[in-house]
Amino acid sequence: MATPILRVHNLTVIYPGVHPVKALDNVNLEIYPGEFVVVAGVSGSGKSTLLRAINRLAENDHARIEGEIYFDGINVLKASRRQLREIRSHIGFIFQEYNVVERLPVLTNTLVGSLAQVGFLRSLLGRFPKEQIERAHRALVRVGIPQHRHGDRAARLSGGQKQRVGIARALLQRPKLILADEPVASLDPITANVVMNIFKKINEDEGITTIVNLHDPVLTFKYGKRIIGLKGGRIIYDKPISAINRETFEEDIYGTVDGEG
Amino acid sequence: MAQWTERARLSGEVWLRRFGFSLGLLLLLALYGWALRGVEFDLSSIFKYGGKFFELLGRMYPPDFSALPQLVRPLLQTIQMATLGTFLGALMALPLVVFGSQLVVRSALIYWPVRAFMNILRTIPDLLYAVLFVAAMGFGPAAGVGALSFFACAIIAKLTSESADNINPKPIEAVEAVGANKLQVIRYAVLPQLIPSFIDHVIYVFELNVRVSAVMGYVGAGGMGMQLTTAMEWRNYPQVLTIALLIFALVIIIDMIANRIRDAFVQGIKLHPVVRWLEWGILAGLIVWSFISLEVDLTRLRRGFGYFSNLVWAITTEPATEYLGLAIQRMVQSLQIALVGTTLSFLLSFPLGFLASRRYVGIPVALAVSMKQIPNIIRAFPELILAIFFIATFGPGPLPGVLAIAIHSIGMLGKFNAEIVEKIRKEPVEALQSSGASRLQVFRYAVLPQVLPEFLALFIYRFEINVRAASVLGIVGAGGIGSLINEAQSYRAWDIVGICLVVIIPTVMAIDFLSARIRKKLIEG
Repeated sequence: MATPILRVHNLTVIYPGVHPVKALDNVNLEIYPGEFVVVAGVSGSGKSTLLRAINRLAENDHARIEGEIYFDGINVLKASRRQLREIRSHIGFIFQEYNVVERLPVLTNTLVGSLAQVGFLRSLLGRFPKEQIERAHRALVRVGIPQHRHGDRAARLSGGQKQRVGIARALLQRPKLILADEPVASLDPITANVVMNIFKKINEDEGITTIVNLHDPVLTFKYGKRIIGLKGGRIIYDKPISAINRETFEEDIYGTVDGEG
Repeated sequence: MAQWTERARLSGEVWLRRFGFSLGLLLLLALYGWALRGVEFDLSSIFKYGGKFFELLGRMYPPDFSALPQLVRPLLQTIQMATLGTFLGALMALPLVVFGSQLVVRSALIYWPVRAFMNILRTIPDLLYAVLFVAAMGFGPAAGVGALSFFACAIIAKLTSESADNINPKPIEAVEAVGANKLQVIRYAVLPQLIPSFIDHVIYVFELNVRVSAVMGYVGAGGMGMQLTTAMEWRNYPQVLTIALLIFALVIIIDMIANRIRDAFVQGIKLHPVVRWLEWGILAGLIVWSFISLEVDLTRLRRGFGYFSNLVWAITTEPATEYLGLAIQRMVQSLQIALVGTTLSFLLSFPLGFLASRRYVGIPVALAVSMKQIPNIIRAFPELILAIFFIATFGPGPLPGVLAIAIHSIGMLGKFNAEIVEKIRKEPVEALQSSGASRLQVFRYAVLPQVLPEFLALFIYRFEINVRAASVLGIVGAGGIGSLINEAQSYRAWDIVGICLVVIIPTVMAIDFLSARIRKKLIEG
C-alpha cells in the first residue's frame, strides 16, 4: 500500500487536574490517502480527543499529548508554532457546534478558511483576493447555500446551514485531510443524512481523506468504509465495513440494549 | 431524654441566633453612630442652615441669559473634550481588553499583568485624573482630554472585558484550526464578537464623559467647569444658575442622542451605504475638529509624561510616609461620607421605587409616570455642582459631600429600585391576595422578600461608586481625602499627592472586591 497520510503511534492523551483523566491510552493507527474512516464510540470514549490531538487543538483544553503523530511525514507534536499553523492549514476541521462567528456574513465565515493562503496585511484589512472570494462562493453553492444568502449574517442560518458553512470553510483550505468531530450530532436525522452525503461526495469526487466521528450506529454503518471503534480511550476495532459483524460490534461498542457497559 | 436535649439544643440555637442578631444590630448602630460623627452630621444645622440653600437658589433666580454668547465656546470645548477623551480612551482600551482576555491570550503571564493594570486604572476617580493631569500638563483643555481618556479607557476596558469573558470560544478554535495566526484569530473570531458590546460601552462612556467634562474645569481642566469656578468666585449667582442649566440641558440632550444611536445599533438597522459613510464622515470630522481646536501640542505631552514618571518615582523611592496616618484618617472620612450619603439616598429612593412602579399597588398612572421622571432629572445634575451649592450653604466640610452624594444617588437608585419592583414575580402576590391578606401583608410577605436582596445589592454597588466620588469631592472642599489632595496640590507637594494615591487605590480595590463578593452572595442566595 501507499504511504499513510496520517500515522498515529503510541498516542496517549491526559487531561491533568486533581483527578487526571486518561482520555486516550496508547492508540496506534494509520490512515491512507483517500480513505473514508468513521470513528465510532459512545461519548467519553475518546473520539473527540483523538481528532483534537491530531491538529493539537486539545492543547487548548490543557491536555498533555504523548506519543507521535505524523501528518504527511511531519511529526505534529514536535512542530513549532509556525509549522503547526502550516500543518493545520492542510487539515480541515469540522465542529459539532459549527463554530461560525454569528455576527459575520456567511461569506466571511467561509473566507476564514483561506486565511493561511492570504497575505497577512490583506487578511487583517479584510481585503481578500478576488480568486478566494470566487472560490468561497463556489464552495458555498457546492455545499448547498444559494448565492443570495452569502451576504446574510451567519446568525440567520439554521443549524444544518451553519454546518454547511463549516464545510465550505474547510474546503477553502484545499485540505489534504478532513477531520469532522460529531458533525451531525446537533442536527435532525434528515439534515444529518444530507450533511453526511456532502462529506461522502467530497471524499469520492476529490479523494480528500476524511475521518468522521459519529456516535450514531445507523449513520456509522451507512457511511463508514472503514470503522474504528473506540472504548475507554483504546481502539477495540479497526476493520473495513465488510469485515464487521454488526451485532457483536454494537454490543462491544455501545453496550447492551438496556444501556449497561 | 433525647427529646429533652433536642429541645434544649434547639432553644440554645434560637438564643444564639437572637444573640447574633442583636449583636449585629448593635454593631450596625455603632457603625452608623461612628460614621455620622465622622461626617459631622447633625440635623439641627441642616434645619438651621438648610434655609440658606433656598436663599442661595433665590439669589440665582432669574438666570442671567445675557452671558450665553460667551458660554458658547466653553460649551463646545466641553463637547470636544468629551469626544476626544472617549475616542482616545476607546483606542487605548481595545488592546487592554484583547490582551487581558483569557480566551485570546492563554498565557497567564500576559493576561494577569494586563488585568491588574486595568484594575488600577479603574480605581482612580474621574476628578483625581483631572487633578493629576492639570498638575502634569498645566491648565486648559489638553489636561481635560488626558484625564478623560484615561477615565474612559478604564471604564470601557473594564466593561468590555466582562463581555469578552462571555464571548463564544468556539469560533476561536475554528479559526485556529485553519492555521491562522494570533492576529488573524483576533481579527476574525474575537473582534466580530466583541465589537457590539464595545461600541455600546463607548457610547455609555461618552455620556459619562460629557458629565465629567462639564465639571472638571472646576479644577482647571477646561470646558464649562472653568466658567463655573469663576462665576462662583465672583458670587455671580445668576450666571452660576445659567451655567448649571446649560450643563443640565447638555447632559439630557447628549443622553437622548446616545440612546437613539444605541437603539439603532442594537436593532441592527440596515443603513444605506451612503448614509453609513456619511455617519462615519461626521464622526471623523467631529474628532478631527476636536483635535485641531484643542491645540494639543507635543511639548505639553512630553511635560506630562515627565510629570507622571516623577510622580511614580516619588511614590516608590521617597514616599511621604509621615503623611500616611493623615491620609488614612481622611480616607476613613471619605468612606464615612460615602456610607452616610448612600444610606440617606437609599432611604429617600426606597419609596420612590415603589411609587414609580405601578406593578403591584394601585397608584394612579399619572403619578407613577411622573415619579419615574424624577430620577432621570436628578441624574443629570453632576454631584460636583450639588457639592458646590451645598458648600456655599453649609461651608466647607464633609456634610456638603454627604448631601451631594445623597441627592445625586437618588437618580440611579430610584431608577433601578423601580425596575426591581417592576420585575418581581406576581405569583406570590396573587397567592397572598387570594388568601385574603391585606395590602400591607402582601407587601410584607410577598413583595419585600423578593426585592430586599436586590435592593441591598444595589445599595452596595452604589456605595462602591460613591466611595470614588467621596474621595474626590474634597477637592472642591467637601471633606475626605480629596481635601488633603487639594491642599497638597496648592503647595505642589507631589509626594503627598502620591501618598494619597497609595491610600486610595488599595482601598477602592478592596471595596470593589468585597462589594462584588457580597453582591454575588446576595443575588445568588
